[in-house]
Amino acid sequence: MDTSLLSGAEEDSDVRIHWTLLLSVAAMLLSAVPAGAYYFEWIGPYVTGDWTTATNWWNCETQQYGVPGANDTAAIGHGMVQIGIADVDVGSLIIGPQAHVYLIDGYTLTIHGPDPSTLDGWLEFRGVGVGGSAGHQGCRRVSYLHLAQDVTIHGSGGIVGHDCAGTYYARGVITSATLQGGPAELTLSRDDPWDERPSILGYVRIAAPLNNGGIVGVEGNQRDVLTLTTNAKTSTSDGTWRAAGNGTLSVGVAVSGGAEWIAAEDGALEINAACTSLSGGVLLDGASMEVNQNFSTLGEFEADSTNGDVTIEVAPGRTLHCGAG
Amino acid sequence: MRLLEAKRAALVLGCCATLAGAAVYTWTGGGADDDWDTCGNWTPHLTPCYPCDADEDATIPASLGGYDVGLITGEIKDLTVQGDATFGAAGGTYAPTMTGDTITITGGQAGTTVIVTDGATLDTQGC
Repeated sequence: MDTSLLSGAEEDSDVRIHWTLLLSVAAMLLSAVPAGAYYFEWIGPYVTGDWTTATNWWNCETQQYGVPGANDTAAIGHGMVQIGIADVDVGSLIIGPQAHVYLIDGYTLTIHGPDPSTLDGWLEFRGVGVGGSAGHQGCRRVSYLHLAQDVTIHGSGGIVGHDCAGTYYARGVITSATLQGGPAELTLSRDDPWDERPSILGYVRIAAPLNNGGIVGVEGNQRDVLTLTTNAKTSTSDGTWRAAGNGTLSVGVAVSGGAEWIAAEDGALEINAACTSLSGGVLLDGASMEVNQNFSTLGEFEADSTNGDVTIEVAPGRTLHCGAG
Repeated sequence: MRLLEAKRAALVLGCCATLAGAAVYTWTGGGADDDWDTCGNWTPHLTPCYPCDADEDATIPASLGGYDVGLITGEIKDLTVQGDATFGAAGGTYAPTMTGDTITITGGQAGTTVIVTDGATLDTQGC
C-alpha cells in the first residue's frame, strides 16, 4: 500500500476540516454582527431593477450582496429602482444624480430614522429632472409615501409620482418635506375613503412653486381634509405655501380646483393671499387663523372652541368672508 | 342649570317663532351682562330684542378694548365683526353654536382679533 497516498488523502481531509472550521467560525462571527446600519449601494441595472433582488445591492461593509433593511442606508447613484414586489422599509435613502425610485401602486416605501431632527434618515432626490430623467418611463403616481423623516429635494427636483409637470403626489402621511430647486407643487390625494387621510404632521416647504405659488392641495374622490395635528408655526413668503416649524399651514395662493377643506385641528392656519376656491370650507378646531389678505370661501366655516380657544386675526384693511351670500 | 338652559331654549324658540323679518342689530354691550339674549346689549330696540332669526343680521362694531359676547345657540342671517371681540358662552349655556349664512370679519384700520372660547362655536353652513 502506498501510504504516502493515504497520508496525502488524510492531509487533504485535514485541510478540508480546517477550512470547514474556519468557515464555521467566520459564519459565527458574521452572525454575531448586529443586523442593520449598513451602507448598501445599488448595483442593479440602469433600466428597471427591483428593490427586493439581493444581487442588485452590495453591502459595502460586509462585501456581500443583500437587500438593505430598516436600519440601513440605501444609496442609488444611478439606475431605476422599482418597488413593486413587496413593501420597503429602509433607514435612509440617497438617490443620486441619475437615479430614480418609483413605487408601483399598492406598495409602500417607508423611511425610518432615529431622529427626524438629524440628517439621519433623509430622503434626498438630487438632480432628477422634473419631467423625468433619461430612461424615465412615464409618469407614475406614488402609491404610498410614508415619510418618517424630512424629505429634501435638491437641484431640479423630482420625486416618484410626479405628473411630468412638477406636481408631486402622495397618499398617506408626510411628516415633513422640502421641495426646492425646480418648480414644484405638492398634492396630497386619497382615492378611496378607507385610505388614510392625507395629512402633514410637520412642515412642507416649497421653495420654487409652480404658477406663482406652490400649492398644497387635496384631491380625490372623497371629501378630504388636509389635517394638521401638531403644534404649528408657519411663515410664508413669495406667494408660496410654506409651513415651517411645528406645523402650521400657510395658504399663499388660491387653491387649485379639487381642494375642498382646510382644517387646522391644532396649530394655525395662515392666509396670505386671496383664496376663494375652498368649496368645502375651513375648520378651525382649537386652532388659530391669521388672514393677511382678503379671504373668502363659499364653503362652511367653523370656529369651534370645544377643544381649545380659536383666535382669528384679520390684518388691517383686510376682510375674512365665509359662507354663502 | 338644565332648567335654565331649557328656559333659554324655550325663549329662543319663542323669539324665533316671532319672525320679525329682516332686521339689523348692532351690539352696544350696554346690558347688565354680556349675553347675546340680553335686550340692553343691542340697538335698535326691536321685537324681538336680539337677533335670533335666519332673516336677521348682527353687527359687532369696533370699540376700544373690544367686546365680550356671550353666545347662545341660534341661527341668524349674517354676522359682521368690525373690531376685536371675544365670543364665549352666555350664562347658563353649554357649548353654544351660533350659525349664520355668512360670517365677515373686517380688519379695520388696526386689524381685528376675534377669539372664540368657552366651548362656543361660530359656524356657517356654506353652500
